[in-house]
Amino acid sequence: MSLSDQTVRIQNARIICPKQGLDFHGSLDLKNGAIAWLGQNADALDWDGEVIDAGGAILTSGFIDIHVRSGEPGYEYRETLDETAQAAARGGFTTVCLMANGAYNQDTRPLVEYVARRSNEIGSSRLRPIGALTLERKGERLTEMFDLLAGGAIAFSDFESTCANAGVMRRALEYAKATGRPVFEFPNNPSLSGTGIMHEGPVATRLGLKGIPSAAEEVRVYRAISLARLTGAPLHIGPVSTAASVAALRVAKSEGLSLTSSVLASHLKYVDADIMTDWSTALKVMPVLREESDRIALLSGVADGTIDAISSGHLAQGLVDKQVPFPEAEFGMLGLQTALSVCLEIISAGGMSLMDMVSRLTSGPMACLRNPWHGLAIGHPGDLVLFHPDKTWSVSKHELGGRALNTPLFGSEVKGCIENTWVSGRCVYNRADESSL
Amino acid sequence: MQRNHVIELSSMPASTIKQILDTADSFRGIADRSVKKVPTLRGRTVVNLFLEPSTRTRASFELAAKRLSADTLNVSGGSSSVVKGETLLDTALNLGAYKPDIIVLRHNQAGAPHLLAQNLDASIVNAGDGAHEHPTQGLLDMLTIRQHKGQIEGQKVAIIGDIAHSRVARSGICGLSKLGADVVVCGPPTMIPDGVEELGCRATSDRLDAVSDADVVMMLRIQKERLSEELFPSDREYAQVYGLNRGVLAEAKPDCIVMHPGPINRGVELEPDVADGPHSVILAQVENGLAVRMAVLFYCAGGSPS
Repeated sequence: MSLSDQTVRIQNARIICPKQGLDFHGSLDLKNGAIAWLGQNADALDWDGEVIDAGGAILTSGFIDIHVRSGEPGYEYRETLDETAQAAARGGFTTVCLMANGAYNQDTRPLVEYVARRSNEIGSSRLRPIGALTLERKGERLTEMFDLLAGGAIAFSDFESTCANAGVMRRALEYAKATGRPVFEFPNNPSLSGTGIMHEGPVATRLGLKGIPSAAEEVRVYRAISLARLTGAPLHIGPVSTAASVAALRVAKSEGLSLTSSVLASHLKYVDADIMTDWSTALKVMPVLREESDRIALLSGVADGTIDAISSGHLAQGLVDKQVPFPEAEFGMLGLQTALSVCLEIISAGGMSLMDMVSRLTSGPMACLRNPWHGLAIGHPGDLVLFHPDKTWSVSKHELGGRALNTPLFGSEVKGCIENTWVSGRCVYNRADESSL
Repeated sequence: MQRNHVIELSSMPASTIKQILDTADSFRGIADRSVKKVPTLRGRTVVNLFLEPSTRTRASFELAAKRLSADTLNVSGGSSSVVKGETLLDTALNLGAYKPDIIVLRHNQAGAPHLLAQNLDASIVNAGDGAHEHPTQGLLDMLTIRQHKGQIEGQKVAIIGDIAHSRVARSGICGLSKLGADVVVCGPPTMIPDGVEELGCRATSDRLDAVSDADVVMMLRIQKERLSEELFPSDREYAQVYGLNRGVLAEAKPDCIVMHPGPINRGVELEPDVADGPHSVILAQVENGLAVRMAVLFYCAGGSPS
């Protein structure tokens, strides 16, 4: 990717960086793809490059999402990698980690390299493939992890089809340790979740829909914690959705295990009872939306740091996948474009602080990836997002930008406008250009 | 035309349920006339879209529409484009192009009637959607209880069987509890779904607890063809622990009625001598099914009792 030598000063912004402990009004200069300077407006040096007046908008590090899926390769009718990268840029995400989408498993180097190469060609927000942990994600034989690493894998995971065999999982964790990359455990026990499609409880009972008990997630969280203790491998457990998962992780982290965890933004806003309103298939997601008590527990996990990262869980689906009876619909919800708005709504309702939100969207996911990272610091990459927290936008086909429309927010007006997104100092999204189209 | 859907009893007001039952009462006499037809729905079109096997419900809806003089169009699973891969919505939109007034849908997936109601102009009647609801069965059961007991309020109704997978149970619990019945559901714990009490009933796994002093015992069919996992070890043990025989029935009130939505697994959930015995009102249920479906179609077409 050739980076243009954009030099731009963003002034009159509220600059926030939990990593560096920053929250002040000032300016930031981008030069040669990196942060050249930042400080109070009055202290700014002479500048002959482009100047953007942020008008008081918030400027922070670009968001990072560790749980995203694209339709490409295999389901291009849902979303292409270009559209995924653009959705990320629109939503303020500068790096997103791609899980295998089911059509291909990302279990061999060419498949991982394909994503990495396409990301470079697209030249928008970075798409980083997560390599499979076992071949065909069957939980039987380990993948060639060093080869996947060389091809661009940023972590290893079998996702929902996580190893049934705990012995294989143990060896996979031990082997992965030497690569220096973390393993992601998507906690789900298929023999308990079975053919379930929503949270098992009174709402599923009323609707006659097959439930997935909280225990399907929790038994895997408990197992993962035990295996982290046994192997010492860097492990990520998430996305989690239940109160008991949060409680178990809280205890495990206090023990000092090398553990991180995450939650999907949708799970901080929606609960299973929301499905009852109109059987919206947009609310059919994995992990399933649980009860209000779980939602409250997830928010407390975000607040006390038990949960490191908030992810959009972005998964585009076509109309043909969603305009069917609820049980037949595919799982998945768009998230990249709306994650900020969902988080801001939770902040408005008093469920989260702005600083925690920024942290869970930036330094938190970086910690999950075990990447050294410095946030807004001079000389470090110019991955930035500028957003107006109170400005509203309407969730329309035009604003979503791609072909997929599977979000429960479709047609509604939400707060939180991304004005600009920069990746390595290059502007990959500019709302002003969009509106003039 | 005014649009009235009949999709679920869980969200139907008690007053509407009573209104439909009253209308059904007035339609019941038609079957005894020599000319079994009234002009109520003349010129209206009713589509029976049955995408899951059904004999009695389909026959009942077809006859109900014909007795009301409506034009009927029957589309069933085997003959529809669904087997060619067409989606439910496409099939329904195509039928919708004929401007039917009412579409009666039977589908194996919960929520299918909602999808049609959200996308079509016709009134939608749910003739059974997955394990969600079967409102006309619930209504005909209520009509049968009212007919034999005079009222629903205060009656102890035991519903025994696979509650988790039964749409009949869901409609029954919701409808009966709204009209003041004391509903108890019973079955092995593997067949009692989490939070069923919130629908308006008590749950037990003790057959005698459920049946003792009951005014109504409603047995559900064990639907082995629907079960994807093992929920009980054998028919033999099920019959011994949860089946209804004369000995168990003796614990109920002397004038207790026994109901079953059919088809019966004789010797599993219901002993033959009980199914055919003096307490059984199973054939009355079938007869009432016709009157209830006439009343439902009348309600969907915007009719109110005169």
